[in-house]
Amino acid sequence: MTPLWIIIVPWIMAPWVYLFRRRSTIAAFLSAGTSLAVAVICFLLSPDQTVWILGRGFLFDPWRRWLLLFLFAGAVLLFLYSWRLSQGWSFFPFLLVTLGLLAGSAMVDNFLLAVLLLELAGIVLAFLIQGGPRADPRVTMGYLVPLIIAGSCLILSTHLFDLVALYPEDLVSVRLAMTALTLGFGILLAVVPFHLFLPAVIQEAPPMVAAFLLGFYQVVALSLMVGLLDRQPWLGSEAFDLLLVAGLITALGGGAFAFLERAPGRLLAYGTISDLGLILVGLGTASGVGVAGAIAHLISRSLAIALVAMSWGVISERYGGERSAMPLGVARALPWATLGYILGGLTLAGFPLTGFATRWPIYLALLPHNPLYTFVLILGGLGIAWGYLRSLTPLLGRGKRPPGGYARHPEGSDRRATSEGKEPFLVAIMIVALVGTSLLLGIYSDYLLEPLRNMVEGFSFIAE
Amino acid sequence: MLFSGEQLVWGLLFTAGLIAVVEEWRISLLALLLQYALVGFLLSGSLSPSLPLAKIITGGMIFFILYPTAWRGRRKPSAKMARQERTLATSFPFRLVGSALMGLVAYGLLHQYTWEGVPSHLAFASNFLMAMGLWTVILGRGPFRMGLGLLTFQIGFELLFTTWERSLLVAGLLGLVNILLALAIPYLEAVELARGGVKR
Repeated sequence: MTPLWIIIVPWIMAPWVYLFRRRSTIAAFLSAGTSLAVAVICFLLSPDQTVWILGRGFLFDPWRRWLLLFLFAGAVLLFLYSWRLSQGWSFFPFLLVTLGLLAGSAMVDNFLLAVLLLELAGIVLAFLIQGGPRADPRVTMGYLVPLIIAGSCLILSTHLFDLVALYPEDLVSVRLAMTALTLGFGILLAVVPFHLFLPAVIQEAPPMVAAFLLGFYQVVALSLMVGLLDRQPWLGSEAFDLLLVAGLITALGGGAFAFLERAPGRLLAYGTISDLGLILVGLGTASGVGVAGAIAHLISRSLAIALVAMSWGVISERYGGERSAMPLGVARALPWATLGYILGGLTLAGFPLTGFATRWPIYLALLPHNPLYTFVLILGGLGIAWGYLRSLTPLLGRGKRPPGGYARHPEGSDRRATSEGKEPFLVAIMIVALVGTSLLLGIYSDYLLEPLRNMVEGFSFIAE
Repeated sequence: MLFSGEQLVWGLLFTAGLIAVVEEWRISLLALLLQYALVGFLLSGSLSPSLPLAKIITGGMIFFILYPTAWRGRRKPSAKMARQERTLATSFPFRLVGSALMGLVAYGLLHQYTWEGVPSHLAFASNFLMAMGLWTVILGRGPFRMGLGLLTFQIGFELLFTTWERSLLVAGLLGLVNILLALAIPYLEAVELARGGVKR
């Protein structure tokens, strides 16, 4: 079987799912089934295959196999969740199209085509971010503008690579290429100070779209960056120094904003921005331990993002909740969602027994550089932890209730889903499963780190 | 050739300026269509006919995607709303002066770095379109005008990039980026109108 099915199957199924978009049960199971089938294909296909189309190679190696498996398996969870709690009529078909584009971007062995497919996937995501009349369309436009600028910078960099290859002594081209890459990836990944659009987008987007954007789309973008670092040795130590500095600023900046933030959506955005900084620092160390830690943390981070988004999605669906604050006293009615929200947040923060285990290798890899850097990362994590622990006060029912209380059935929500005050059974199961996985990953992280360490040894940029 | 390269570049500068300065939807949309056609003609001098033709077809498709939305939202704002919206940033002189400054920025960039193999008039047109696109995005108060700015930015970028990368596959994907963007604009504009947002 050709690996191209991984790209094609979601696209074949998307029109069928679109036909059933108003029948959420059929659409959800078609979408989840498709994702599951593609995940199984990824698992069963033998890695190290290359398929050629129009002279362009599509690679399926062990690295891409696990990336795609992660992407499609994660999408199954998002689809099932959206069956119980609606994320907008366009969610199922459009996410399938996005998955196909992201798979193409991950597999194609050409940076220019990969960027173009990633940009296309990002534009399709804009329809999901809007998700209906509730969200502010100017926020969605505020997402499209940086996406287009980032895409243009990355596309431009491909021409500059050619110039650098032709004239390696031309420092102007090298600097321009570095600038284009920094701007492109900086904006795409919302690295501080290019992060300003992200909190508003995450606040406005439906929770599962936010989870996909932060936990999956960014993973593919990061994998593109890692692939580039692996293949363009001329980027050299300057690129890794830049990653280290940008990562430290992002980790500290995101943590500081999270410390001050109360709105759940924005808190999630700042938490993930800070965590992204940690991952960039891990990559910037260019050491086996640091890079393996960064990839392990990327997995742990995606799980945590899904956990927080799912939990916050239930809370806001059931109890309305103001966009700027958490509803009061929902912990008794929604115990699993409350547990998931806090534990997911603490995982992002790198709390012991949760996200700390995948942060530890990065801390260790940083020590030879400067012990102060480790302190900066810990400080960033403390900012996130404070943001989430502070949410416990309203969740447990302490604090001031706004006059008139909270709307029980928020406008535009699925009435059927909000007819009772508890979590839907399936959603509770998913939250519990994610909590369990996060804890297991925190306790037995070596089972993940060891194979990753072996895998990253193949990267050309790993220092001896 | 009916027009010289320089004349086509002047046409591009004029249309980009119109999009940024004039708020009338019919003029903006026609200027956008003209922009795609001018880029197509400009590229036809140095490339095989398929690529310029693809640009012109993309422009035509985008025009027909955007036209119904622009027509639906054509209502003029009430006098009260117009008074409320009247700020320095929306005034004609501010837009005009800002556009002129963007032209200066584009001209300055031309002398900062010379792209090998790209004629200077083409590089200037590309810089100007990108700068004016961003300026239109900054000034835009709703998805429609911001979208026109983004599309202008894309046209400018593609004008430069197509001179290096002549693959039909890449041109097709870039065209798809434009079309998807053009599809997103009416969707967002429809939501904006439904929410009673600002009129163009």
